[in-house]
Amino acid sequence: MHRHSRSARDRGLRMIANTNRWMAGTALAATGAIAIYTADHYHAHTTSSAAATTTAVQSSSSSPSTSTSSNSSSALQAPSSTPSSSSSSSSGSVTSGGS
Amino acid sequence: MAVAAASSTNVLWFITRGTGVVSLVLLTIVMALGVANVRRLRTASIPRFVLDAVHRNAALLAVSFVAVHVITTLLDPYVSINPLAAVVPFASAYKPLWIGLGAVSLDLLFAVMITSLLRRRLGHRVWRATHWLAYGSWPVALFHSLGAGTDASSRWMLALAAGCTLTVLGAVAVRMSGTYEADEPALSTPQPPRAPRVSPSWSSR
Repeated sequence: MHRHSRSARDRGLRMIANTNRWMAGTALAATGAIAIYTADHYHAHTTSSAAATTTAVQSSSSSPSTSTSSNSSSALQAPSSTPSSSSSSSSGSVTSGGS
Repeated sequence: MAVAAASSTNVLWFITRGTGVVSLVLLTIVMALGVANVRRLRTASIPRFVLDAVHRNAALLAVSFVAVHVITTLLDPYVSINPLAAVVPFASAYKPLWIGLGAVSLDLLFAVMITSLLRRRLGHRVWRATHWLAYGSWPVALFHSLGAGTDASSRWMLALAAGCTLTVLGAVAVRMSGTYEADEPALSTPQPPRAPRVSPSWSSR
């Protein structure tokens, strides 16, 4: 009787340990999966609109030969430097020179 | 340098969303287990102390994920939320109602957690009264996730919210139905032995 209760307790403790491990692992995996899913399916919040506008401005104003390098650097522009004013070409050259 | 700053901002945002969703699921599990545990749910293969421990550990895990959710939200520079607004309801300038509901849920969760940790000192009655706040914390958290969440309009998030709601409603329905009363006689409070019925003296006259 005593041995039976002890084995039941050990079995319960093993069950608790396994459940804890499973729960923590699943929660971490789910967090990572949701983060990756949202990163893939939704654009980043601050830089997405800024990157889109700067890309459009750069592609219309700069030469096509340097489009790949200017696109990668234009995505790093701060939102304040993206308006469609005529000074965008000068700010773009400063940014590309700085990088 | 700017790439690192931009990507770290987005990583914070993605972690906020991931931990928010996972916290809701964990809180749902805690809620359902708590409701079932009130009815002394016991199966042949799972001892009751296992359910107790899983309920407690899931609650601690949920609190950890809620803490990460709050911290990453505060660190994310996309919206500047005052740290006070995380605990003071409706003090946030950004989405005051929905962020305020999150603060209410967080406060209730902390009240339940602290009183649970101090259960032996507080006594069963105070702990039980405070523990009922969990019933308010869960729906408030659900409304917070649906109102403040970026993914609230997506199908998978709506399906998840519906699944969480059905899980809790099912647990509450089981509790209200009293299914386990017949299986668990220890639930009923022991009745004192009934005194022998004595016929009033005036009736014998």
